[in-house]
Amino acid sequence: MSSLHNLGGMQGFGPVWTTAEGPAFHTEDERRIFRLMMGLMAGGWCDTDGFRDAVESLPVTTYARECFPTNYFLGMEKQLAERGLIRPGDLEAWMKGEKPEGRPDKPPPIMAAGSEPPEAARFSVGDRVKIGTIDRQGHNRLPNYLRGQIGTITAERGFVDFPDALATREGRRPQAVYTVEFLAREVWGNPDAGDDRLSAEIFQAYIEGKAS
Amino acid sequence: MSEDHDHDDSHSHAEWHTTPPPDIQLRIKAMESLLIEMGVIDPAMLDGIVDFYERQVGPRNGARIVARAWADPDFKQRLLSDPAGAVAELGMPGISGDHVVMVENTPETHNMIVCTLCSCYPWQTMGLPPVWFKSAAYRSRAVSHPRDVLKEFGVKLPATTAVKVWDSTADTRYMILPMQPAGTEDLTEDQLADLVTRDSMIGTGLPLERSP
Repeated sequence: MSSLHNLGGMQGFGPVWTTAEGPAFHTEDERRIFRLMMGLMAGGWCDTDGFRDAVESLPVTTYARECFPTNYFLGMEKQLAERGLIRPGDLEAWMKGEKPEGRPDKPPPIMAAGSEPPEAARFSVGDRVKIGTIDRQGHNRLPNYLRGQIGTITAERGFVDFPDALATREGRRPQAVYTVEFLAREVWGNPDAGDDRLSAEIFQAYIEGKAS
Repeated sequence: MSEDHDHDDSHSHAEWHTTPPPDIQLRIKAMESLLIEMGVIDPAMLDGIVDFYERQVGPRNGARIVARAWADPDFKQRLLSDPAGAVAELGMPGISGDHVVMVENTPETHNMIVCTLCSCYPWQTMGLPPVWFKSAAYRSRAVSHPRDVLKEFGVKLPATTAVKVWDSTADTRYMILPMQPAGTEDLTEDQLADLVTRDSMIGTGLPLERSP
């Protein structure tokens, strides 16, 4: 299962556009949302995977229509409500001068302490592997355009906590991550792609097995 | 993120993509003031973080790294094999090469980076991603039609050069080491750094030619 954020290979978003190399932020809103994000991450109120999950699970029509500071804000709002800090109605009350009371001083732990031992790495550099397809609701880091594709492992990137499980608070499940290289002409069915290649970081759980 | 919104001359893509609607702008401001009032975020600390990303880290850091690699072949080898160690040699306060992998452009292969799932970018050496890097237009087509995207960025590659696109889907962050422009061997590192554009380190551009 995937959401609209899984954009690789989609069409209909128009030509690319660019910006001059210049200030880090274009608007005060962009700066403000970045400040908030940094503060909430530093304080433990938001976390990368939970935040990504919150943004990715916005209604598709919202995600598509709004600019990224809006989507970040809506994701942040959702996470803070889940964590009991800023509840629905709080901002409206605050805009009338009423400060919410009885809110936690410290963020509840994101995840139960401890982690599972890493699952052993099953593949190594040079292996040809087939990427699986996964039936999973919610956050994952498998690009749609690579489902079912066959590629070659070019690097092993150590063990990383599985983002899917972090986002759902199932726990810390470290697993091997590989850099896998694919031929563009196979992925897209485009013979004109010649020797063009694609490379992505693939969690072991997304690999179906060695390709025959 | 929608690309079909109305544009007028005074409202650039970048502004549109960083300007929430008025009701959300108000809510963002209310969220900020409420979190400060509750003592959840510390504005002074956040000003420091924003200042760091606005004034101290950015593509000019990456450009210094590239310029040193062009000027010093031994440094270049260290940069390719141990980016964190090599970046530390340059002594840029707060700048680290952790999780950054340098990818070298060659006459045979031109590399470019994208994050199709969100906006992963080598903050460590290049600062915050430009807003177009987060746009649906770039994220969708950079993997499927990189040569068209490069054309739209004004980059023409020889037909014999393969394109390789790196999708940053886990913790590794890629930065491109562009090819040194011909006839620049006698330039100082500072002069070389001036030729290194942000886009040349993303792979959507080439370094500037030496000015005549």
